[in-house]
Amino acid sequence: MKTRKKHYWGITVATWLVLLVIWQLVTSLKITPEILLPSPEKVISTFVNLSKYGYNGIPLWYHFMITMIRLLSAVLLAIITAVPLGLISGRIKIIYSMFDSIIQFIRPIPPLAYYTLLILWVGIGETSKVVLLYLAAFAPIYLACISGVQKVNDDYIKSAESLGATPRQVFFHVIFPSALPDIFTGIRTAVGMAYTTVVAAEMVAATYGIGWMIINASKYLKSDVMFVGIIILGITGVALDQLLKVIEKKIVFWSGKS
Amino acid sequence: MEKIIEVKNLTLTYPGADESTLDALNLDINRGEIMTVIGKSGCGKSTLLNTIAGYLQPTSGEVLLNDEPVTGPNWKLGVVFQNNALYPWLNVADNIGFGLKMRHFDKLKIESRVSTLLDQVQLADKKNEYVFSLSGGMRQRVAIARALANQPQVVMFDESFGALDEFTRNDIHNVVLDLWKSLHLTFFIITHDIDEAIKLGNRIAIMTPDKGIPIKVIDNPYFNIDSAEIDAEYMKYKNDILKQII
Repeated sequence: MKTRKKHYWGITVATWLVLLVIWQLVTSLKITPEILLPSPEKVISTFVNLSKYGYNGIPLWYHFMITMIRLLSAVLLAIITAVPLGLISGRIKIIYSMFDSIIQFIRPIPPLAYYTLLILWVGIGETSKVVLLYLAAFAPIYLACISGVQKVNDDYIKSAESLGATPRQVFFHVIFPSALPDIFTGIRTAVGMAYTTVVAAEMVAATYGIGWMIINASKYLKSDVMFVGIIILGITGVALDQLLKVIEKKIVFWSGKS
Repeated sequence: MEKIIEVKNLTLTYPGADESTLDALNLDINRGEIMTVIGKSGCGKSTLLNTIAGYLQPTSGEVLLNDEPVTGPNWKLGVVFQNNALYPWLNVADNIGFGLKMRHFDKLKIESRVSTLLDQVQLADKKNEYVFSLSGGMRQRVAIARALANQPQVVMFDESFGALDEFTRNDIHNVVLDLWKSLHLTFFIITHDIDEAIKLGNRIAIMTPDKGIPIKVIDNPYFNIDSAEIDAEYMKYKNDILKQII
């Protein structure tokens, strides 16, 4: 069992180093023009410059913060609404029948397909961006909650009933904690979904944000800036997922042990 | 003997099933006894327990607890499940005190009762541990303590010792018998193990395949028998039970 879980960090680091060396070699030997693939040094120097002077007159940290605020507020909103609705849908068939088909209908539609409509409905400002990310994050949490409730060990519920718990107590003291591991899986998926939508959200009618920075840089073929933006998004994505894993481990410490 | 539970003409047919699982079954459980129920797999033992516990509603007939109909699960009928159904997000003490907390007992009362039960099931030193770190036998002791915390009138065991190894099972049998002697409760134990039914039951209810007499209750002269006392007479008694089951 321990061998299966073992992570060969050395191999991971070596793989990244090999990729870096290949990148360096390709750019040093000028196999591709710099406009398509800037060198690592160029990307680093661009990052330093962006950190010092910002992009388009706006500091890099501000672009980053705006993207994070949009992302996290959308995910938070999705958690606040999708968790109770998903838990109730998993438990009450009428509620499930009301909402599930709507969410299943929206879920596979690419966010860009309805983004323009969202802008027309809720305006060009922050709301449309947050709503777009919210819609991307909602379904994974909602579906995970339903799955979590449906997986609750029936004996947990029966034993709570025999111990004198009311239906309300069963919901809050048994069903909710039982479903928590699935809820966390849903939240992690939702963050991933919202994260992949963030560039799309900042594509239209934005003037800041890392996604906007990448799109704007692409218009002027500033591939070094695009690389900086992409690397920031990649590192932040991994960091966010790791942070969620740490929180998950703390809160649902029993997951996989019962 | 005073009856604590009366099962009257109990018939239960699962939705969509052609045949009833329990058919006009009658059974009296006396206050303060241990009744073990034995029968082959699929004969309806667990269905009987689930109906007495209030998890299933009879198709016809009724279950009375102290002359009152059982209409649903309630704390007066404690249940210990085979897989113990302990909550992994709670520690041992919180699992045992769960029912008392749900019933809004005050904190001191809960702590005191949990502490007494921990001593009785010899797990005082595991109070703050999470149940997933305990062995199967220890978990089953926690499950028994949890069912006892509410001071129910009847404690039912649904094949609760079936998943344990022989050594642990003997250990748990002794815990159950000690608790029964000290607490003067009524125990209703479902099992598929004839030796277990004989060791633990004052009376044994045999679920037979005979639709005319679906359950037959016999007195048990070998209650709490020590394995060293097993003789030819015991084997004959056991075989007689076995013949009635199959």
